[in-house]
Amino acid sequence: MIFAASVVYFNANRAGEVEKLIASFPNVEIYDKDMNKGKIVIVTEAESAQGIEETEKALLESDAVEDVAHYAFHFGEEVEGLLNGDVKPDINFEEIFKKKRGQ
Amino acid sequence: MITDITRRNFIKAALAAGAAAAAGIAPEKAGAQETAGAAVDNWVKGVCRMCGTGCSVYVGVKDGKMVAMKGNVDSKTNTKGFLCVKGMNIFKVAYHPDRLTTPLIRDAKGKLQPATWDEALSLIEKKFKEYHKKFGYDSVAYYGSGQCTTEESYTFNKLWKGGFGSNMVDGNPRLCMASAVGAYLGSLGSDEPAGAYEDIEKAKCIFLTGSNTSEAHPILFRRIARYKKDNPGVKVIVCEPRRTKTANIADLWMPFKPGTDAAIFNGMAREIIKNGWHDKDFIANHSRFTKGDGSEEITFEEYVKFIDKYTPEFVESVTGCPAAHVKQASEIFAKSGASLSMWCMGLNQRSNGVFANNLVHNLHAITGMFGKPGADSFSLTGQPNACGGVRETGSLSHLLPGCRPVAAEPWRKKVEAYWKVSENCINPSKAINPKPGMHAVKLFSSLGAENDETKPVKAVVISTTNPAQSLPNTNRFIPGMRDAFTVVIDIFPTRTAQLASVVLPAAFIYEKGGVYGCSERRSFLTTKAVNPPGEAKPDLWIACQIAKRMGLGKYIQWSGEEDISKMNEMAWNDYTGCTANTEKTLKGATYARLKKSVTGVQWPCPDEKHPGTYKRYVPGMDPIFDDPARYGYKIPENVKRIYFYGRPDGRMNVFCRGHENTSEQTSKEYPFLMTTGRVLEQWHTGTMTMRIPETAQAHPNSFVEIHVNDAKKLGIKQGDMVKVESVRGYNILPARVVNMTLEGVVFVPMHDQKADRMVNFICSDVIDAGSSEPDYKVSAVKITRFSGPKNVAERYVVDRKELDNPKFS
Repeated sequence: MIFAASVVYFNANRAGEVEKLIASFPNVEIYDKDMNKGKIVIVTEAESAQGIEETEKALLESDAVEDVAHYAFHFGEEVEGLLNGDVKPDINFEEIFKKKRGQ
Repeated sequence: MITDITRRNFIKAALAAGAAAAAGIAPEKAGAQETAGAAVDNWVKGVCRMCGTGCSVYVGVKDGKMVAMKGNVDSKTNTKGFLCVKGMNIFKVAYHPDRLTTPLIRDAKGKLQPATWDEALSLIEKKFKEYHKKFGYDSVAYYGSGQCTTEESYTFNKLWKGGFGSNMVDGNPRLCMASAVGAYLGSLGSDEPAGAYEDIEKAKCIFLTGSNTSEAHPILFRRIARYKKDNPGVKVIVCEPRRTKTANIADLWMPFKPGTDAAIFNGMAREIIKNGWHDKDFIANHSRFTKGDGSEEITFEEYVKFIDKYTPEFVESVTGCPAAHVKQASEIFAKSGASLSMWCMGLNQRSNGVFANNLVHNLHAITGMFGKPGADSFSLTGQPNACGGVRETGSLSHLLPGCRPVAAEPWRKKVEAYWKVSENCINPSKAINPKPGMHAVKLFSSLGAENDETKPVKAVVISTTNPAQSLPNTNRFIPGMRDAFTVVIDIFPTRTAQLASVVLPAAFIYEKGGVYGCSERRSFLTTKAVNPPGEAKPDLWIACQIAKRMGLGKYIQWSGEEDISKMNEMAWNDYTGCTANTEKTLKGATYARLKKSVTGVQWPCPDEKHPGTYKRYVPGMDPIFDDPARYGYKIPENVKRIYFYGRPDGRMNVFCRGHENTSEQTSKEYPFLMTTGRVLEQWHTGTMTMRIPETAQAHPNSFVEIHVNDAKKLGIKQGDMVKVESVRGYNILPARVVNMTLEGVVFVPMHDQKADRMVNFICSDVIDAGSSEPDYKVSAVKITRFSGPKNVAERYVVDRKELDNPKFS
């Protein structure tokens, strides 16, 4: 499991909406906030860095969210898995062009 | 006993407390800070190594293993300590099962066999001594990297140039930054930018040219984007052939056909002067107009006459950039009050890279956009230590420490004296060779077997870089690396290791520590956090072992040490002593200071009390003005605004440089221009990032971006396999049909290791006449549909088994 502590910057006029949005993610927990200045500190819990990125992208889909800035990551369990040989790459080879970059 | 759930909560609370502090929010949950101990045993200061920005981090260590990473809230680079996900994945590199953990020696059957360090080093010693004797001291070369630490680059450079009396030292910054070096020296008289990243938040116009900042420098891009968002009046101009994500924040996009942007820069200069937007005072007092190589001065009027043909319409006809955009950009740039240009490989990796850099400097010279907050002409570097490690230590074939030419006798004599070359050098000359060695392309084209009389270079040590994948027209160089005595120092199997005679397993940055110096002249110490795996060793230790075996143990004083931190410190002290009387001085950045510092130090920094320098060439800000004679400069006493002390008259050179160049041109047979570059998820030759599942999955294979209209004409659909072919070779790549590039222009990323997708087999090996940097950005190719879609999302990497069975075609 990987944990990422990040700051969500948002339009302070839509604070309630953003807080509700964040609360809808089961793997995201709100830790601190400054609603007047449009900042919420969250911790995202995911199986991989990809899970963290996907959560970030989902948050950014809201036009009330201006930015999701990562500050810290904890990957101790992943390291243990890598060193034990338990963690295997989980790659989907089927979907080429899943990301349409730059279009 | 702490339960797993409790431990998780502790970890999350600790991380959140740090994020709250970074965001300027007081932690709400009492005691959150105190729980930090649950997450890690200790936080060790360091630098991220996944791009050239120089983000400052703390590595969390628990039970001797890296388990966490957090940003440094005091950082001047990644302000507020924010990081990108690419940096976080570093731990997957460090703990990857493909790590090389024992020396390997290729046997008579071509198989790399495990060996002891003594066996590997003894073989290196034997070969080097044999070649020195038989073929001369220049027959053994070193090829380094902008990812080695400053201590490592300095030590190898000292060993070769002063110890062997050979300038056969070059590095991969030759492939990325050499044109920027040449232009800074030519235009300003001294290498590296005058300003710093903090100019971003002081600029009124940011001119991004030849840089897909959003993908190559994501944290800096976020900084620019955030500043722009908070200050909508600030104008961002993006001058790039492709409409990348960088252009998404731009007020103006200036597209152009690859290789033609020199015409745009001259056109902007013409438009600025024609409209009277130029800074007459700056021109009169701080600029010097020249033609040719800069030695012949001309008048301002003659310069105006030279650029007169670059009307907006003429520029449009040459470049494809709309004339209206040229006019608009000129006005924004000149009238902003503070314009900051930033560029990267798009300007450097060109047949006219030095000229293109010069022409951007010209824009600043005629508008006075220098020496004031937010105004600078700033070259971004692509690697974490190309500036500090290679440029500043002079670890290129024509330089000495302090980034001064080896051919310049006064400085060469000073370095000789400092290094005590006459006492120590094993070359009978007992001196540093005044003649520059070979630049990268020449070095590798001169490398070959002992019995090949056409190849004067017989051995090379390659550290932390992968030339068998990164050199242009790669086919030219593979036989040389295969046939010569090639020693590769790396953490993973690579294309170059496949050709090596000896492979030495290296320690990762957090397993050894050392100093990195980023684009903004800032040096920052990474402290060793954990031990390297198996028998992997720091490059510095390897350099010292070679030195000792070559009879130079006394010369490289730190070779007597075993503690890597102590070795680093001794090497750093020797380096900063050597360059103490140059403008690159970091004499004040002692190891003790660097250990304590949470920001690093920007040169010039002449003594421990000096805070470091934000802005060069400005009296009152740049310490060179306090005692110019110490640094070999003469500066008049009445300087008020700015003085370019590296130039004999203190004035910037403004060059008359045309747009014509020697880049490959399109033809009937090869009608497309191919440009290459980075994507966000990958870095360099993918040896690290292709091993990280998340980044590999996001970009598992190379592709060719082609404009939708071109694709239609050629019958190419999304995902079809396409043959991209030049006179040198071809790739078979999936097509990515887009509308964000110009018609006639295709783009291929540079990271894929699979032989039929290694783009440098196609790339032009034309080099810039001034910097010897290859022209990766302009190659003429033809495009044909090869087949329908094929799944090539392999995230291919060279593995241990393939070290004995290289397949390059």
